[in-house]
Amino acid sequence: MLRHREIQPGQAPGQDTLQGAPDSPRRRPHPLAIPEILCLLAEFLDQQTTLDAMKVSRAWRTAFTPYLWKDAQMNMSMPEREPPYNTVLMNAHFVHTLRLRCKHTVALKHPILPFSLSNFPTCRNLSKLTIEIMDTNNNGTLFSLILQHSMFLTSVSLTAAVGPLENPSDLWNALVKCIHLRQLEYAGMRLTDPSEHMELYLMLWSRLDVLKLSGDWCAPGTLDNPVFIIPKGLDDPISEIPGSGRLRDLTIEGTHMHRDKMKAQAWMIKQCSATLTRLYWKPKSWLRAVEKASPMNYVFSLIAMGQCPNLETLLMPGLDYSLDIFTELVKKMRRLTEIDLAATNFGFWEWTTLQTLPWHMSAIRVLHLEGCLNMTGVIIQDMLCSLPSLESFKAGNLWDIDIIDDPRPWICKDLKELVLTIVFRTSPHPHRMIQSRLSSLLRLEICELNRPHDECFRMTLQSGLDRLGSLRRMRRFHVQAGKDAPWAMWKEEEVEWALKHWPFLEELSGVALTARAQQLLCRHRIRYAPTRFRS
Amino acid sequence: MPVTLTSLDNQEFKVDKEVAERSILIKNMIEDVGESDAPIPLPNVSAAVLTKVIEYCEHHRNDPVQVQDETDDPRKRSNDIEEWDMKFMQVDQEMLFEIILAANYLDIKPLLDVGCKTVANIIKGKTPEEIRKAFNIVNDFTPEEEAQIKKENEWAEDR
Repeated sequence: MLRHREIQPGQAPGQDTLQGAPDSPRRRPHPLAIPEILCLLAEFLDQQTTLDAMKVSRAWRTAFTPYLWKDAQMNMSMPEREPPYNTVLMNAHFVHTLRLRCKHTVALKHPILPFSLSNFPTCRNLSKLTIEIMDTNNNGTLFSLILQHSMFLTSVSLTAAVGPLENPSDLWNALVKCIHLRQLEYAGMRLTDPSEHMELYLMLWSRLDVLKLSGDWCAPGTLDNPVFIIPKGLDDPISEIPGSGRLRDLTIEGTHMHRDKMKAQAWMIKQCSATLTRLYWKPKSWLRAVEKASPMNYVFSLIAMGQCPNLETLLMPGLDYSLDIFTELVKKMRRLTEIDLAATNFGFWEWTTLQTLPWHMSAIRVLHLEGCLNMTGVIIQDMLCSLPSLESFKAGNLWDIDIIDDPRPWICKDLKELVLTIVFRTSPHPHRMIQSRLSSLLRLEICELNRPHDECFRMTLQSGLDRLGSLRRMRRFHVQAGKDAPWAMWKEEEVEWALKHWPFLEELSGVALTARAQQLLCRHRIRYAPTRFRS
Repeated sequence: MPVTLTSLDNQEFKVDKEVAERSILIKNMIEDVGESDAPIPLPNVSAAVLTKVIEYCEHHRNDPVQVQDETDDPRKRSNDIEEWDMKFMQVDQEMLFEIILAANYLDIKPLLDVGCKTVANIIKGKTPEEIRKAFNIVNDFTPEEEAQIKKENEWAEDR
């Protein structure tokens, strides 16, 4: 916390550039001339605003420069997005988070070189590194970047967009040296030598809080269920690895549906079952859970036997489970707050089960149930009227008739994110009941409203858009635009209305815009897409 | 149990201890001095500003202690000002800055955050010249310096 500055006339730098209010005999410096106040302010400015602020005056440039570089994003596959080399040299020490997209060739004068030169003063502040590699040949510079900062890095994220790494052992050598590493995200890279896995897992279990793995990989080790036999070809498996002391957030996704690999994943989950609070497990496709010997059932039985007492999430979208399993799991999960069972058979019976668990009903914050064919509008309406802590809700078809005759209000006042498909049966236009329900969600920031098939959602000023004027925190708004529906287009008036009532709007999508409306949005730097943005 | 706070212009304000202790500075002062009826002097805060600060602390007297929000995004958000706080901050610019200075001096982090968020929202979306106009700031850059900043930071600009 800042200590109070003794404010005396003439002490603050740059004071002569600030006049103060015209009719007030200000003896003290203007707060916006005090560097400490500018620093506090800087934490609330997005990147573009910081850039604009740096052009205001010399004092502002000095105060805000560290914040521009604190989270530095460089796309080195686009030359116009590369910062000048000398600029990077001057400001590298401000960087806490470095996000790079790069190709394999690294020119001598490449901007990231200062970070990886061994004679460059180490950036003690660089604690978080995100690298997306477009081509996996010749990545020596990147690994030396990790090595150079191994004493300070706490978070590393590596994604290979194309193919496996050429020398994965270089990567492991660099990562093992990062003794303070707590978060590791590793995607799209293939591990080929089983002996490399040992180091990885020994390192992981003792250090990491958060691990995200996707792409093709496998793990060694035995599983204590005799059904799980070590696949042939692995040498010297370790039969017992000490349980993880720390791992609380584990994501495994996109791996191939090879049975042995899924067994290995289940084994991983077992190793950290006691400390896990968040588990997201989504292979490319699922083995059917009805098979008793399946890896999924193994993990379910871990949870059902209470071996994951801290688990707060049930994130298994696309999984074909049985109602018995669901009931067993949720009853055992005393800290459950987040459910993602999109594209599953979640429906009436599961909702009935949840309603018998008052703690869960009051605690659920995230509920994602898109594409669940057994879900009905009545259930969706019921959920919105009975889950008070809901912050993110994604579901399918809500019919206007489900809402109109129901006097109960939507009680999810903390809802920040809502994705729904609305079906109109009473009239071709959105019923005011839907709009007035939406307008009561004062904390809504992300709103996506779809229609079935290609139908269009008309949300213009003439059809009640102004009822949503209370949603001041709106950041992303999507309404599905149908084909050839000029009566649903947004004109300048709609954009002006949005700019006035939704001052934090960052993205608008789905709705069709007139050319002038589009220009107005562009001038205010609001991103627009005629279809959905890729998340 | 009430404590007495004395403003820069010697006006006395009696407030509950719980309300006064929303200010960490005052809280520490009370702990150091112990049981005492002596008024606490606040020579850097005028009566008008202190009135506003006390109003804020009264309204938020039961708020839980703020925990640092550890999210992936290092930048804090400014779109989440509560309705009451937004109305509270609808004051002229001079008072807004006086409140920020007072919150900084008195170490009332939530009030400081709200003040900074309010100013951040004024700044957002404005060009540099519009920002200068809003706060009466003189442009002290030479044209060469302006060109240099543009060159140095072009890579980070939104397209």
